[in-house]
Amino acid sequence: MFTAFKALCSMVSVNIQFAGQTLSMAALELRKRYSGSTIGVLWAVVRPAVFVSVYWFGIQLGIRGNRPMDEAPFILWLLAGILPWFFVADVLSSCGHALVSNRHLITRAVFPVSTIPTFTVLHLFFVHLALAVVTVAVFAFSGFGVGVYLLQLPYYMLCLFAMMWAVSVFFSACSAVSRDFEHMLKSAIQVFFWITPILWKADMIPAGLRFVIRLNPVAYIVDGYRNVFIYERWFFENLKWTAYFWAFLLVFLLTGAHLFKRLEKEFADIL
Amino acid sequence: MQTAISVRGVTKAYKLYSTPLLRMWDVFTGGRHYREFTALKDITADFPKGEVIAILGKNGSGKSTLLRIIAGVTSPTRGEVSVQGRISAMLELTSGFDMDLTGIENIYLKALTMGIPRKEIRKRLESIVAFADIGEHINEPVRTYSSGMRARLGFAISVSVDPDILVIDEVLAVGDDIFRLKCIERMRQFRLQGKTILFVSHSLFTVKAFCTKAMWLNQGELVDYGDIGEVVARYENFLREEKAKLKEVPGAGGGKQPVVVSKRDLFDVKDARLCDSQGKKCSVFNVGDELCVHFKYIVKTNIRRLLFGFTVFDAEKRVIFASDKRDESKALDAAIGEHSLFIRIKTDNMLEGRYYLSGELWDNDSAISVGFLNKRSFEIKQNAYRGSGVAFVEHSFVNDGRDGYQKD
Repeated sequence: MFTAFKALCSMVSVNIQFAGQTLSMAALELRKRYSGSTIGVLWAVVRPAVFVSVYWFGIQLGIRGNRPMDEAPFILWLLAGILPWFFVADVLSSCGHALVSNRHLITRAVFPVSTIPTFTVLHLFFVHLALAVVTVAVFAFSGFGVGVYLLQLPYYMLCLFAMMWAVSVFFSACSAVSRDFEHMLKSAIQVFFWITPILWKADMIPAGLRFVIRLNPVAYIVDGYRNVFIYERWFFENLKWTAYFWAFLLVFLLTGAHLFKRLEKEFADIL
Repeated sequence: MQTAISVRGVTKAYKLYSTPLLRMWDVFTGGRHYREFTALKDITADFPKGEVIAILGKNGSGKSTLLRIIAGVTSPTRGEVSVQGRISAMLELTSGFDMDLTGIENIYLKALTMGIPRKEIRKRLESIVAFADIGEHINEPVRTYSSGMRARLGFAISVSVDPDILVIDEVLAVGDDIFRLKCIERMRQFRLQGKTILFVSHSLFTVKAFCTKAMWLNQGELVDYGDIGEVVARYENFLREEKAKLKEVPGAGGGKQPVVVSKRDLFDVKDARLCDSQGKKCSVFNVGDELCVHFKYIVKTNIRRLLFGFTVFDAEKRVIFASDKRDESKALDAAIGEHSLFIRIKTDNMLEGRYYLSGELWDNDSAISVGFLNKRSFEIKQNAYRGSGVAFVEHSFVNDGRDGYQKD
C-alpha cells in the first residue's frame, strides 16, 4: 500500500518535472495523428460529427419517432453525453500501444517513461477540449442556452482526465508485457459504449440494475456532462457517487502506478 | 587521467518468462517465476577521457547491453555506472527515430528528449541536414528511409548535439564508403577535442585504424581490456581458433568476415604488374633477384594517410608473409592526382616453387582499401638445391670450436 502510494507520488512528480517536454510531446503526437491527411486536424471534429449525425438519424428519427428527451432536443441531449465518450473511446483505443509505439524512446534514448501515458492522454485531451468548445457553441446557438452550470465543466473534465490517465498508466504497462491487453481494451470499447448510459437513460432500467450500471465510473462522468448541459445540477448535489468515483479512481491510480513503477525498469528489456 | 565512464561490477540479468502473464503475476505477488539470462557478468572497467574505445566480441557477447547500460537506457541488475558529461548514443542504428515523423521532426524530437532547447537545435539544423546529406527525403517520414539514410541521419544528429561522450553501435556497417569517411573524419575531430568515444564495429580493420583502446567481451564476461594493439591481436587469435573449430564441424557456416568494400571513387590503381628490377615484365625470378611490382595509383579525394601493404602466399595459398598494414613508414604521396609506385621485394630467403602475391593500398583513417594485385602468381627458380619448406633459414655452424663458441 505504502509502496503503491510512493510509486504514484514519484510518477506525478516526474510528470510535473517534465511538464514542458510532455506538452511538446503531446503536440508532436497530435501532429503525427493527423499528418498525411489533407484536412488534417479537422478530422478531430468531422469524425464525431458523423457519429452524432448517424446516431441522431438512427435513434431519434428511426427508433424514438422524434420525441424530445427530458425537455431537450434529443440531439443536444446526445451531444452532451457523447462528448466525454469520444475521449474515453480514443484513450481506450490508443493507450494500449502507448509504450509499444513509443518504444524508440524507451529502448534507444533516456526518456522519462512515466510521461508517455501522460502525453498519450494529453494529445487526445486537446481534441476533447476542441470538441467541448464546439459543443458549448452548439448549445449557445441552439436556443437551449448555457448557464452558470457551465462553471463545473472543468471539474468534470478533471475527473475525466484523471480517470483516463489512470487507465492509460495501467493498461499501457499491461500491454507492454502482453499484447492481450491491447486487444482486450479494443473490445472493451464496444462493451463500455453500451453499458454506459450514453444513448439511453439510466432511469429506463430497473432500480437494482441501475445501481450496478452506476458503479461504472464512466457513467458518473457522462452523467456529469449532462448535469452541466441539460439537467443543470451541481456535482455536490450527489456526494455519494462523487465520493465513490474518487475512491475508485484513487484505488485504480495506486494499482496502476504500482504496476507501472515496478515494470518501468524492465520496459527497455521487454519492448 | 580523468575518467569519463566508470563501470563498477555491472551485472545484467534478463528475466525470461514462459508467458507474459506470469510477469504481471510476479509484479503483484513478488514471485519469481522466471529463468535468468545473464547478459553481463560483473564487468568493471574505467574508460578514460579522450580515448576511443572499441568494444569487441561476437554477436551476443553483451556489447550492446553494455552500451545500453552506459547510455542509461536500461539499468544494471547489480553494480553501477557513473558517467561524466553529456552522452549521445546511437544504438543499433536507429538512434530512436519515430518512424512516422519526418527527418526534420525527428531532429527536434531528439533534441527534446535530450533536453536541448529548440532554439539551439534550430541553429544547428542546417549543419545536421548537410551532414546527413539525404536531400529532399529529410521532409519525408523516416519509415520511408533506407537503412543507410537512417544511419546517416542518426549519426548526423548524434554528433551534432555536442556530447562529451559518443556511443556508436555498428553505424559504419550500413553506410557507403564516402559516408564512412565522413563519419571517421567527424569522430577524429571529436577525439582531438578530447572527447570520449565508445565504438562497436565488427570491422576489425576500422577498429585497428581508429581506436586507441579495446575491450573484449565474451559471453558477458570481460576477457581483456587494454591498448588496442594487444587486445586486437589476442582477439584475432581467438577468432581464428573459433573459425578452426567451426571447420571441424561439417555443415556449420564459417565466421562471417566483414568485407571491406573497395571504393574506386576515392582512389584507384591501374597497370599493376610484376617485373624485374629493370621494370621489365616478368613472372619467373631467380633466388637473389629482386621481385618488383610497379603500378600507378590515382588519388581522387583528400586522404591523409595512404599506406600500402602486401602478402606473399605459397603454392597452397597459405600466407608466408604479410606486411604490417598500419606501418606508417610505408606512407605514400596522397596528393590528389596520379602517382606511380615501385616496390622491391627481396627473394634471398625464398625457396624454389610457385608463389602468389597480393597487395593493397590502404587509407589508414577510414579503413578503406583497394587491392593492386590479387594473388598474382610468380615462380622462384634456384640454381642449386638449398632445402625444402616454406622459407630458407639462414644458418652457420662451428666445428671443433676453432673460431667460435664451443661447449665444454
